[in-house]
Amino acid sequence: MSSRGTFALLLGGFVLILAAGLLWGSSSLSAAQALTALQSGPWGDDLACHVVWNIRLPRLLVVALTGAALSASGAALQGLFRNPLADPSLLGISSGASLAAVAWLLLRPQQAAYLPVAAFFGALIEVSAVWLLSHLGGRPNLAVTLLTGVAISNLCAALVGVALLLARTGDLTRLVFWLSGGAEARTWSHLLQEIGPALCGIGILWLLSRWLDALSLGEEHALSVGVPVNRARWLALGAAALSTGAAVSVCGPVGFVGLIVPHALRGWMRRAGARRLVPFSALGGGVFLMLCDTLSRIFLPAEIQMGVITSFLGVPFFLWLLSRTRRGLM
Amino acid sequence: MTVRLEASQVRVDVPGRSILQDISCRFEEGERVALLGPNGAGKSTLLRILSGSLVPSAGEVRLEGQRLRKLPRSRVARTLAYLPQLRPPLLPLTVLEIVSMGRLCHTGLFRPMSQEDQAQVEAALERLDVARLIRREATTLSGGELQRVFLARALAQEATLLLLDEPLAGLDLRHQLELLALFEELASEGRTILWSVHDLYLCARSGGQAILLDQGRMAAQGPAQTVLESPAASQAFGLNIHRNEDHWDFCLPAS
Repeated sequence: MSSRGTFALLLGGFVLILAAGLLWGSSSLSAAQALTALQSGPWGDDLACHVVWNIRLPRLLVVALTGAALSASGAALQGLFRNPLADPSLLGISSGASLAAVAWLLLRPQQAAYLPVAAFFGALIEVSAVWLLSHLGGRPNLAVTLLTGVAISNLCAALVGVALLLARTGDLTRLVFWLSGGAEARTWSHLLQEIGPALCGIGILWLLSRWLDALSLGEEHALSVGVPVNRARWLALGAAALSTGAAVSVCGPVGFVGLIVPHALRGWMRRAGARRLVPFSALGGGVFLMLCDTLSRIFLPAEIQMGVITSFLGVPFFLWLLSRTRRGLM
Repeated sequence: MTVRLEASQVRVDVPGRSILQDISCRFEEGERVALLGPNGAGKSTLLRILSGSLVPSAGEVRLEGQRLRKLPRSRVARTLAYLPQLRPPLLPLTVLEIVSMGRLCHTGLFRPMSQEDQAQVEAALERLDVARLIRREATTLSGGELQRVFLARALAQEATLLLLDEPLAGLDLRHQLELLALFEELASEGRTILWSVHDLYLCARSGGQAILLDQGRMAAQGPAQTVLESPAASQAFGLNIHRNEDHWDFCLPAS
């Protein structure tokens, strides 16, 4: 499908799911009630106004931004690592961000506003470690990169476990809920906390799109067409860590979004250039995660964290992709 | 003749052994040079050194008189296009996207492609006979098609120096001979072409010059046919190499 058609479809999907998310939930609103609430602004004093402006709209926008950040990062990381299976969760970047965020929540609970900064540094340290360790013995194949990510991700998970052991009972429930990747009770302040670094990360990745395309063919090809490879790589890793850190700091580690959405869009648009793929993945990631969150609120008996739903969808998708990529793994 | 690229006393060491030793060579405007040698002779390593993608343990490389390592990569890319050995892409970029990458050193990160850029891309696609493939995803191409697509990318760069690692590998004989003709044509336009090859027949057919590498050392250099006839070539390949009027014989030595 053409880029314009894909953009129109994604935008239409965004508006539709945003509307559905505003109308339906534990208590449903009619379209008229929702419209009146939207028109009366956030200061209206009826229940519908409160539900729309203080609960559902900020939650939907936080979820959309999280999906956008994770998905754009995934699209960029797949080019950067020359690995179609790269994703912020599979490479362990989300785990690095989670570890830093958990540590920050335990050590500095009063300064939660700085959570994205802590998560950014956690993500950056983790992804740098994966890059450096997987390149120790020369150019790595796909399996080496993924296994390095898995190993470091496990280390981060173990350290998160230690942190949870040290947490007080009150903190523990909050942390465990946050770690399963959810958006319940997310407010405008969460959106404000996330929006700057997430959009900044996505924007940098988009600006680097020509370099990312060249790097996806290998460092020597990139160097040959004039890409300053080291600078390009660290800028892109930093931008991916920034957007992933922002997403994780607000919604916890939500897996597989960065894998599913860019691949679906590549297949749909029949092209993989980052100039279109990064922004389209951002929009598509927002739509996809809002859909997961809204479905969990509408159809499931108890509200399930969207991270659980993305994992249910992501694992079979990953296994399918693995079967297609097997030849390149060795 | 202008000296485009020059290597002096280049050495590459890895723990326990040297891959290249005391390599000094220079390449001038309009030259076609085949880098000949058996597997493991150091051809790819020398090309990587000359392209600046690998730093030598000793010695230096100069591009148009300036130290290669000191030059910004975009400046290098406008003069020198390097094509590493073929590795299939893992992400489905289209042929047009790959060939257009050749213009990156001219457009930079942000400037949109101008008409001149598009004309260069189209000319490169036509010259390599891949214009009909522009919408195809590179992951669906055969090895030979992919090789020609990457060569088109190198031509789209408008570089005056082409360093090509095994550019004829994976191509059928017709396309191999067409590419040899293209090298001759490009050289006659003033470009310098250095290409690695381990196929003696193709080297013999290429005309032009040749450098023979054997175990990391330069064993011979000169016109391709003279290098092939030299005892150093027979020794490097472990073959008896004879020229009989209009054809070549390559056979294993009698044990």
